Amino acid sequence: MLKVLESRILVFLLIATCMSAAAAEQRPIKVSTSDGSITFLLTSDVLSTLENTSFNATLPATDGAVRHVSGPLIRDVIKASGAPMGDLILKAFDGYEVVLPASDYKNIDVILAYKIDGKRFSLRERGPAWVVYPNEAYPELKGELYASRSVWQMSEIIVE
Amino acid sequence: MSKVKNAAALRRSLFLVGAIALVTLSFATFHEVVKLQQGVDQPLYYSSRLEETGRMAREAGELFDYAEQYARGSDQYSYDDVILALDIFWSRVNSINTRSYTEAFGDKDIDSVLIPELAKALPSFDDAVRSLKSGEITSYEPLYDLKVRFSERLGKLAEFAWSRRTQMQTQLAVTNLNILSRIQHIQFGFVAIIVLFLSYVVSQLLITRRLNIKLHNLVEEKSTLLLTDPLTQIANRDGFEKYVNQLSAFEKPDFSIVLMDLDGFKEVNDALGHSVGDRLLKDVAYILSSQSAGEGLACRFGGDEFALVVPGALNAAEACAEHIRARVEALTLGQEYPIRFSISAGICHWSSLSGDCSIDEILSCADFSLYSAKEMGKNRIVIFQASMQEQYASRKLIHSLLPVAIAEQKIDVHFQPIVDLTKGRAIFALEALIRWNISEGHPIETKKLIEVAETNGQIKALTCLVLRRALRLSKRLHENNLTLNIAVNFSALLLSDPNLASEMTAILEEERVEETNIVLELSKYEEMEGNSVSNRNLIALSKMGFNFSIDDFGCTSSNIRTLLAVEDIRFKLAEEIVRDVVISNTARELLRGLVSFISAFDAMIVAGGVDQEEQAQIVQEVGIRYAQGDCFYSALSEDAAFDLVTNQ
Repeated sequence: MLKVLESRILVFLLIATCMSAAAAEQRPIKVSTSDGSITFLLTSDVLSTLENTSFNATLPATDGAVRHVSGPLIRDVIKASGAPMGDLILKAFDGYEVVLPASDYKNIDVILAYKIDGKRFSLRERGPAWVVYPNEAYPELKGELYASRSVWQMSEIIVE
Repeated sequence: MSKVKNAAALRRSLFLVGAIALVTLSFATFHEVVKLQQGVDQPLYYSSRLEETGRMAREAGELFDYAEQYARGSDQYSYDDVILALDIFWSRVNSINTRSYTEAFGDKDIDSVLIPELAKALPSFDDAVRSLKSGEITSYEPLYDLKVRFSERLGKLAEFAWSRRTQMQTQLAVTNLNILSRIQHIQFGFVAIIVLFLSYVVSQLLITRRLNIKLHNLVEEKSTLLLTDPLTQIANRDGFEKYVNQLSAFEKPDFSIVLMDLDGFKEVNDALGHSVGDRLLKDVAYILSSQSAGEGLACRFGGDEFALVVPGALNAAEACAEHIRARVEALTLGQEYPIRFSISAGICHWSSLSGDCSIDEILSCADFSLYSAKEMGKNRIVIFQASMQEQYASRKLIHSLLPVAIAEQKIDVHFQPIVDLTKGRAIFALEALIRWNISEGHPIETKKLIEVAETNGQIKALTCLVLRRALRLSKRLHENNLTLNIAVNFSALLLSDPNLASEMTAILEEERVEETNIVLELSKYEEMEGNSVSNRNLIALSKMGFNFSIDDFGCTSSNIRTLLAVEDIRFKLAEEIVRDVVISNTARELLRGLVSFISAFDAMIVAGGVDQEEQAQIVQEVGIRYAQGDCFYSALSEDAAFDLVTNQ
């Protein structure tokens, strides 16, 4: 079930309407700790300060083509948020939740991709952000486990 | 041998089979575990796809619901909510419309065209949502049409996905259970092999244990056998020693040794055969063991020699020995053999030993006592006492010093002249006599010396020593053109030695004698066996030039038959006969009788022990020609004898 309350808060925080496809900026991803001590928003200002990493990857639930993705490393995101480097709960707009272990984002260059093939992508295109593993460079990152962690339509990150 | 080889080969092949089985099972387990792992991945893959399909139906429902509410004018959902719902639905449809999802369905019956149709219809959804107006329910119509078109189908698809998912999960569970069960079976296999191996090991242990026990028993049996005399089944010499060693290990050993010898066993054995002899030995052994029953040990040393170990004081041993002696005396071999036996015994108690306390010592003392018993007439018991110690000691001394003395030629040989009474007491011959001074200066009694020499096997060496001296003197005299007979005392027992003739020949050759002017004075004549060996020796020696004389004649019985075998035999009358002729008329007549008896053989007679002049005269009067004794000359050294003879 959608978190209706949450979307209302989002609307309140967002400046523009979400009519346009390029509504990604209106839905910044929130990074918070589970006890609520830290709350951090990945606004476009924040994003512009973070260094972007790009690589090729195949995205799950697509036609299998290799795409070029780019975005900040998740560990940089967590660092920037000021939260401790613990396990993450990734949440998506469709209600999907999955645990991303700290070892994954510490040891692997898994990114929060904001651009696919150089372009931002809309909610309909499973934006605003997609967790992507560099599975072309490291084929062992293909497979169901990592696919289940390659969350699209990212809405929130909770740090445990 | 092949049986053992077969068993070993079988064992080896069994081990091989076992090892292969273990390896196979390990691989199988590994394989199953891998399958388990794999089994997780695939269903996961399909499961998530199916779940998303269900979500899609729900998300569609939410879209329609929010849109309707919005169109009805409710403020529960805003326009943004509807747009969000559309966006989510939109992205869902596009993601499901990929190959991985259609794979997950698998079934041919499903509505496979639904998703592509939905994907195509998405722009219509977009238009329908854009045309929504809050409060205007009619603005919902386009969307409603879409709902009518797709809702049911979506629902069916979701249902199918759900059941398929459940089905897959069940299948996964079943497959995993199967795998687990297979692994369990494999584990059973492992356990079975291990159990087999363990039981093999245990069986081997049991077998080894059994064999060990068997071996132990055999060893014990063997040890007992080694200590047992096979004929009589009582202890043998080794068993005796073992037992005595145990007893003598105590602080104050309290036991006696009884050494026993059957009297006249040899004669029985020769006369009646070995089977009778063996029976006799068994009977004696039975008497011994039944007498000592429970206390002490009965033993057979071999031949007709027995021993008894009697614990306790000396009188216990004495009583025991006396019972045995009486029982052996009463022994008969049945009516067919009316022969009587007897047994002589020598006893020594451990406490009688002084100084050297050992098995050998106590045996020697008992042996000495036994010897005394035999000397004193047999069929009696003699107990070793401290007073016998001296006698025993000197015998022991002789025994230990004699071989060296012979080897180092420390024994002197003296010569006593024999005179011719008819030729004015001119020296006719010489008799060689042993004189041995042990270093302290007192000479050994010759009789004792001979006794010891005879018991410890030195008699031949001793006799040869005397013989060589005699031959030496004879040669010396011969060089001076004098021919004189020299008499050498010769134990008749030596005649039973088959090597005697060849040894005598060797001695004669060594001394380079041309004429053998030696007279062998045969002593212990009555104990000599009249068998073929002694006869042959007599003849051979006679041919070598030796003459014979019967020593101590008149005092003991004579073996007349053997006398006839030898030519030119002489007779040396015993001293005891001459001793009494002066005082006793009977003695004189006996002497006379003997002379006439001997004269039937036309043989030479020498009278010994003529110490007094009166005796000499009577001897001459009776008709004896030759005499020997202190009346004429005592025993002289070789040089003195030589001078005397040459100056004659």
